[in-house]
Amino acid sequence: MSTPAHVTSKPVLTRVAAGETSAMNVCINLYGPLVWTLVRRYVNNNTSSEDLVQEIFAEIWKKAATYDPAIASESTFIGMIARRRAIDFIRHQLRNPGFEPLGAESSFPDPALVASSIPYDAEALKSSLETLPDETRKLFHLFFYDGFTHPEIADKTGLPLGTVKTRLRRGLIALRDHLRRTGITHNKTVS
Amino acid sequence: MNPSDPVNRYTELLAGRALGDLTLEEERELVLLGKQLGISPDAELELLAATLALEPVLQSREPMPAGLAARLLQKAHLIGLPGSSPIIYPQVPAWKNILLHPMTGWAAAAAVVILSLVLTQTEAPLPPEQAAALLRSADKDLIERRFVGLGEFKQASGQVLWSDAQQRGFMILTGIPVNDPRKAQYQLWIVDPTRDSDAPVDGGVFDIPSNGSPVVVPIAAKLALSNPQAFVITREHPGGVVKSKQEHVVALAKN
Repeated sequence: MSTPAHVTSKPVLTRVAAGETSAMNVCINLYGPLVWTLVRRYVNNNTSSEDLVQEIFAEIWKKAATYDPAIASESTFIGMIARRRAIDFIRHQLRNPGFEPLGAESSFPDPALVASSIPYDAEALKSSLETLPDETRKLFHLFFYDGFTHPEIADKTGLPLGTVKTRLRRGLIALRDHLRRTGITHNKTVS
Repeated sequence: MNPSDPVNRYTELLAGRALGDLTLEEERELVLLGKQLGISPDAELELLAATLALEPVLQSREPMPAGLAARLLQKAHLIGLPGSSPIIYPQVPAWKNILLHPMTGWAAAAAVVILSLVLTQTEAPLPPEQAAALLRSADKDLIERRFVGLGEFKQASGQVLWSDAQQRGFMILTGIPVNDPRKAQYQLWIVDPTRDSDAPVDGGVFDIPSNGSPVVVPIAAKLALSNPQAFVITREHPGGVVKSKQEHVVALAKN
């Protein structure tokens, strides 16, 4: 990846939101490959993938002003928007075969990026993942790392589809709860 | 976790949304439970899911196709920056607000033209003819087409103005029946043969709030356009559709 010409200490999304001229170029250069790679994990068709990436960047421009570096890294914020749109795309495809363009907004209600959100760093995440049951960790790996769908995971593991869904959901909640607890402990220790 | 507890159930549905596995029924249940419990969703579980999903992506980023990077850059510059011209990003609430208030809509449409052309700082409402003249003066290759009403909508008429260079435009519509947004909405489709896909580009969903005076409707094309050949208005279910069956074609503007 080439180094952007206008690197400053200010987050690029903040610069986009402030109307800085070069910021959109920098943002595309920095995060285009991330968005593209993420979209390709969900969408096989090249044309659809390219259209989706254009829609994702249109949404990134609109939401740049809501970015808060205290809550998430830029790549996580952009990844969240991209993932949301990709999930929307798949859902629409499943429900409306032949579907082409998505709407202007993600169908996800726009939840607030609240200050209570936990900025997840890799180390905290790794140690929290270790607290999950082995079976759940295996499902997480298949889903998040290998990119398998729920039905594919059910096929691979022999688990009923409903069980796969439930374990992934509850695993995600358990992971969040563990990170919360860890965060609270850490804060108390610091103060 | 007791899944019959409404708060636990709500949390589980939020997790399902973050994982992208909600059924239609569960989506409805999530909204309903949120209202009943008076809870506003936050993005915590979604952020966590995104962080997990991004880990392998960050390790194996692939370059975008060269053509795509160029198109994104071109569109970014054509669109402009939010800080310099906030009106160029028609958000859904603003869009609806514009259409509910034709004069406000007109002021906003005029402001889009005025801001984008850097002609003046005034936001005073202008007549449609003057806005059209401003857009024409900024783009000598402006695409202008007349809408012709079809079938039961024969009384519909109007004009569409589109600038490829600025990737923006608007419609001036008259004679289209007032709609009840709870029952049906109008949707614009733009036919652009230069795009890869044969499917028309979604130009946005809109309402007609009152009979009589012309309504100005900004175009909210979801994708970059190049020399569009036709503009089609259909009547669809509330919220619009992703692919029109063209059961109710209201008006057509083409070469």
